[in-house]
Amino acid sequence: MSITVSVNDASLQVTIAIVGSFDFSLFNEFRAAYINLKNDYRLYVVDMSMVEYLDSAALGMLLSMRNALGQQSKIELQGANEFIKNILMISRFDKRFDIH
Amino acid sequence: MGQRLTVLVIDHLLSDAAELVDTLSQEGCKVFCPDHANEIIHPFHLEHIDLLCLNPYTQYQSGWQTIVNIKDAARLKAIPILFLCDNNDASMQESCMLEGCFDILIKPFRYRQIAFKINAVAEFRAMQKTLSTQRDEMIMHNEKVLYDHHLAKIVYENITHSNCLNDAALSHFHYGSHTFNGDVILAAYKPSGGMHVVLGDFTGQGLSAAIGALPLADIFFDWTERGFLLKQIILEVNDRLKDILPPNMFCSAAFVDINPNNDGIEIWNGGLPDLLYFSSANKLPKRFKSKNIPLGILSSDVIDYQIDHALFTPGDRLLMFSDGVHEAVDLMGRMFCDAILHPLYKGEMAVDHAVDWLIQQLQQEEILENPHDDMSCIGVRLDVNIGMEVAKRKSLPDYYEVPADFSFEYVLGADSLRSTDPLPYLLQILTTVPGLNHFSSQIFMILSELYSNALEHGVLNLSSNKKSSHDGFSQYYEERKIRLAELKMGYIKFSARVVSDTSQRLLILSVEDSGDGFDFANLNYNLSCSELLYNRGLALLNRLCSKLEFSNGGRVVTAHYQW
Repeated sequence: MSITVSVNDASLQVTIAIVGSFDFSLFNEFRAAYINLKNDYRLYVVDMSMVEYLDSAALGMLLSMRNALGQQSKIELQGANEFIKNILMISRFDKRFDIH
Repeated sequence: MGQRLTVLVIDHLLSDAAELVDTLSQEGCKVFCPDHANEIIHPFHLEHIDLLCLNPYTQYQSGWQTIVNIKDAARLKAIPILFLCDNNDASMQESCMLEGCFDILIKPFRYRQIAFKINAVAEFRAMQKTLSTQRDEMIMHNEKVLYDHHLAKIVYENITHSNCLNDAALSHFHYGSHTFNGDVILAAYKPSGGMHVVLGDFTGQGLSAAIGALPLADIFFDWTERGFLLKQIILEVNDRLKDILPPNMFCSAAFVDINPNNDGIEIWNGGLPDLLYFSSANKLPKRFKSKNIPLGILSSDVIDYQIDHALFTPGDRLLMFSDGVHEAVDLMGRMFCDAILHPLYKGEMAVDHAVDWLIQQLQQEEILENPHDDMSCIGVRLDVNIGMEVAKRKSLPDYYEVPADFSFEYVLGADSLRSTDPLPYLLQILTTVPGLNHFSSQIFMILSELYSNALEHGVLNLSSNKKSSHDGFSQYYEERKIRLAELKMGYIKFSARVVSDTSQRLLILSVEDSGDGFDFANLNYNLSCSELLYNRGLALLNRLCSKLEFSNGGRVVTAHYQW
C-alpha cells in the first residue's frame, strides 16, 4: 500500500504518509485515510517525503481533503522534494496548507 | 557358463594339473598352465584372468607368496582363487579359508565338483564386472558433476557478485550448506544516488535453490542501474520467477531502497524474518514484519504491494537475516529466534557490531561447522552519503558530454487504453537520456497531465465541470473508471523527440487523441485561485515547459521541456 495512516489520539494528530506516486489512482485510498477516522483531529500531517511523482489530480485531492475537514483542523504538507514544493507554491497552496 | 572364463592353473604336481586343465577345457574354459610360475605372476597376464587354481605347496614359488603377489598386482580386480588341497589336509584347508580364498577344490578331483565351482565363479565374475562397470560410471559421473558445478559456480558468482557489498555502509555474511547457496545478497548503487539492497532466500538449498538467483540478480542489477523504481523491480522479478520456477519453489526476500536525497528508506518484506531498525532515539529496534507473499507465487496483477518506510538520521542501522539464522538450532536444541537473538530484539547490545556478534554466536553454537541451511545477514549503517559519490561521478560526464538524438511514436488503441498504464514505460525510455534522469518528477508531471487530458476529456469525453464539488470530484473518477472499462473505440498517440547536445537539451512531447478537441483559445492559465479542485494541470505545464502548443482543433497538445 502506498498510503500509511498513523493516529496519535493523545496529541490528536494524524499522519498520512504517501510513498512513490501521488496521483489520481490513489483517489479512494487517500480519501479513506482521513474520512473514516472516528475522532476529529487537530492536526493532519501529509508526509510527502517519500513522494517521487505527483500529478494535478493529487492537488485536487489535497484541496478536497481541505474542504472535507473542518476549518479548525490544520493540515501540514511535510517533506516534499524541491520540485513538488515548488509546484505547491505556484499553485498557491501555502494559503490553505502549512507547507514544511 | 564356464566357457567365458580364463583360468590360470598352478600346480607342481603335473598329473593333477593336467587332469584339471582337461576338465576345465571340457567345461569351456580357456586354460593356462605354465611350467614355471614366476613368468605368469605379472599384471598384464592377470588382467585377462578370471580365476586362479593354485596348489599352495607349489614348488615353483612359495604358494603363499604367489597369493600375495597376485593380490598386490590386481588390487582392484580381486581375482578369485580356488585352492587345490588334499582331502586329508584339514589344517591346510583352514589356512586357505583364512587367506581369503574363494573356495577349495579337494583332490582327487571329481568332475561334477569342478563343474559346480566353475559355474559359481562365473556368476561371481559377472556380478563383479557389473559392479566395477557401475563404479567406473559413477566416478565419471561424479567428475562431470564436479566440473559442471565448477563452471556453474563461475557463472553464478559473476552474476551475483557485480555487487557493491564492499561499500563501507554495509557489512554482511553468507554461509552455505552446499557448494551453491540458496541465499542471495545483492546491493547496487542507484544512478540518482542511494542504493538498492536485497536479501533473498530461495526454497531448498544447493544448486536447485541457487538457480532462481540468476534472473533475480540479473533484473536487480540491470534495472537498478537503469533507474527503475523498487516497485517496478520487485514486480518484474516476481513475474519472472513465477514464470520459470516450479510451483513448489519460491523466494522469500526483503528489498530496501535507500534514498539519501530525502533521508528515507523504503522496505518491502516478503517472507523474511522481521527486519530490525535501530535508531539512537529508541532502545528497542523497530521491527518490519513480512507484509507480502514471497516472490514467484502469485502473478503481479493480483499482488498486494505493501511497503514500510522510515526516515533515518545518520548512524541508524538496519539489520536483516535469512531463515537459516532465525531458525538455527543452538547446542541446547533451541532455535536462535527463541534464545540467542534476544539481546538483539531487546536492543541490549552495540548494534555497530551486530553482524560480527551474529557470526560469533553461530560459531559458539557450532552451527558453522555443520550448517543445515544457508545463512545470510546484511547490516546497513544509514547515512546521507550512501551512493552519492558514485552518482556524482556518473552524472557529470552523462550530463554534459553524452549527446542524444532520438524520436519515437507510441500509439494506444482502445484495447490497450483499457488495460495499460503507458506512463511507466514512457518515463522509463525518457529517463534513460543522460541528464534527463535527474528530472523524472518533472517528466512524470508533463506526461501524466497530457495523458489524462487526452484520455479523460478527449477519448472518454468527460467534462471537468463535474469536478467542481467534492461529490462531483469523486463521481468524476468513478465515471472515468466505468467509461474506460467500456471503451470500444479511440486512440492516443504519443510522439516524443529528444535532442541533447552541447548547445541545447530539449524534449518535445506531443499527445494526440481521437476526441472532439476543445476550444484552446480561451484557456486560462491562472493559478491564483487555490480553491478550485481542477483546471490546474495545463496551467502547471505552462509554467514547467518552455512552450505549450495546441493544434488540430485541440486534439494535439505539444509540450517543450528544456533542462
